[in-house]
Amino acid sequence: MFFRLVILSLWNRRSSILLTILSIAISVSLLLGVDHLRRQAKDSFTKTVSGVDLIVGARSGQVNLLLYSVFRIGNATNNISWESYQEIAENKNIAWTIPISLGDSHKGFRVMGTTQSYFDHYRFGDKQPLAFSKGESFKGVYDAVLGYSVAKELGYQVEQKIIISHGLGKVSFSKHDDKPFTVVGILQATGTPVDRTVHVSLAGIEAIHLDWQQGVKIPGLVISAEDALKHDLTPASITAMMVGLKSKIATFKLQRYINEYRKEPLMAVLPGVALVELWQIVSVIENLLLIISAMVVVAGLTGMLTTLIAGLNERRREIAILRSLGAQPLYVFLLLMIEAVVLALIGCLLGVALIFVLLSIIKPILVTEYGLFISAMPISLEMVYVLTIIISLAALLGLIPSLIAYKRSLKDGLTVKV
Amino acid sequence: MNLNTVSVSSLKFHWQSNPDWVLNISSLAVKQKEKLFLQGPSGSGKTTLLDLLTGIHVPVQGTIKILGTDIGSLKTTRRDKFRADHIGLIFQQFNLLPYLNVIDNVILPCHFSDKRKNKVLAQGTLHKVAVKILDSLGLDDSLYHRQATQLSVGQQQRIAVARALIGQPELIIADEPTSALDQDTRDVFIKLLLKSVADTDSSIVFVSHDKSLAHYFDRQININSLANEDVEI
Repeated sequence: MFFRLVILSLWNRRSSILLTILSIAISVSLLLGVDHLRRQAKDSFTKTVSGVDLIVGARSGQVNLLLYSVFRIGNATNNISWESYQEIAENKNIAWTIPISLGDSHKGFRVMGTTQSYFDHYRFGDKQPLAFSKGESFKGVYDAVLGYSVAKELGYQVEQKIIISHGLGKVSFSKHDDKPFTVVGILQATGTPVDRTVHVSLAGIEAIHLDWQQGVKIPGLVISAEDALKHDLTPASITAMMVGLKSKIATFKLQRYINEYRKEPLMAVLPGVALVELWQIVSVIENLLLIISAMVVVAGLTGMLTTLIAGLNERRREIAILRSLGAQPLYVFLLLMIEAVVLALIGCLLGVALIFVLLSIIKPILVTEYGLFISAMPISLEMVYVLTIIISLAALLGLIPSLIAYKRSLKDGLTVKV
Repeated sequence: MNLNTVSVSSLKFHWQSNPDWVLNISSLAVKQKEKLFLQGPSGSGKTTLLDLLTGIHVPVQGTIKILGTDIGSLKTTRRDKFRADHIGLIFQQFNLLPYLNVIDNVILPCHFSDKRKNKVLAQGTLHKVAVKILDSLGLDDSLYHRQATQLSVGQQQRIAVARALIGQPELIIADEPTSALDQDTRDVFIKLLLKSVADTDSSIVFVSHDKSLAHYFDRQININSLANEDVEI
């Protein structure tokens, strides 16, 4: 009967109560959503590259190296000579290497020179390999493989001819237009910077720069696309390399070997460590978002408090009737406490349901439009604790109207005139 | 052996915030099965007296015994329990919880009093007994599952009577229950009320300012005549 009274009394005031529940539900789903996206972003970010044990580049900062080699942001301070690359690649601890060469672009997308090794060994997410949605890996010097977003945004298909621009500007005036590339493959979405990269062979990068020096075309020197193939297209240098080891135990040994490499100043970083360091820069915003969402939940609960206190006056009669029938002040107190808890509970459950529905709606959109994979499970153990805290907080706030009603029920007679 | 249902002696009461006496009753007794008409103009302390008789407030001086129990000496929670077990109340109006249907409103006292609940269960189910009482008060069974707010005032008051009577409490207190009713409904209501009270062997204290109702009762008392000389009203 007690719970029937709680439920029926709430139902009797359903218009204001439903709005209260709705505001709690929306705030809770916002909190859950922000927290979920934050975790997913962190998770996907720290898994941008996986299965790579070391990233090697010219000596600078580890975040800088990570930014240009993995995220294609910024530029390398210096290159690695081809000789050094070969010497390091032959180290007995190394299972495979991926050389990468950056510096050119196509319509704002970075062009990266690499080898077949990239498609064989590069991993992202939970050690997922790169996969082709169309076509295959590059074979010829002037073949290109497009990342998912490049093909999608530019509307390219296999067989499309593309011109690579020198440098990184979106509108570049120095184009390698004498040596067009042909798209031979398009990768599946990865949700990583790979999607925004045009991949060509190291030889291709070398070929387009044969008649260039210091970033400008050498006047008078013209080497046609066919003639270029006759030249030795072994690069003189690369931008960075990714390394896979035979055994992880050798990681630090090899890192030290590279960091102390005599012939040129190099550095090797552990991508996982560097990614976490980079994430920490972003995490300030992440925490700020979380704090804002928490404030919204507090606002939702305060709204509930307002509704409950405002409702007390209309309910004086109801409370007087219960008192006249022998209900103790404690009973009245509990009636209001349970009411606050029930509201918060329903609000939280509805909020959870709401976020599930929202996620199931936006999940396919994120995959097809942005190549982002997010898990459909927005509830973490921490969030279960947070929901418990929200309900406890509601109970704490519920003390206010409950105590008012308690004191009133002691003071008011049975004949309250409303 | 105390045969009186209510026995008040040397009762004095003032509010905590104000030391002026608002109620002063040297003696008042209501016998078993007695129908007492307590008459007094508004402001005469009727409401305060009812709050004292029902144990919402306690006397500052003197004693109130209900069924031989000095309710002023009981703890707050015991007083609430005592009220639930032994007293049925009927107010001027708005007696019913608007969100409960008629039957649930009638059986509500059984939720607060095991004693009354057991008395009801001895006669049948809560629902059956509630229907029986409602039927004896002339309420049609088409009303039973309606919300209280959908009914006329007269119907609501009769449901309040059914609620006060369920589980046969020894004392019924009615606070101007007819003031919201018109003349015809009022007479029918009082007759039904008094008949039902007689059927359950309860005593009734009927408080009203309307002297024209007094002839229905065994005895009538003016609240002012109960006062000692020094009372200020």
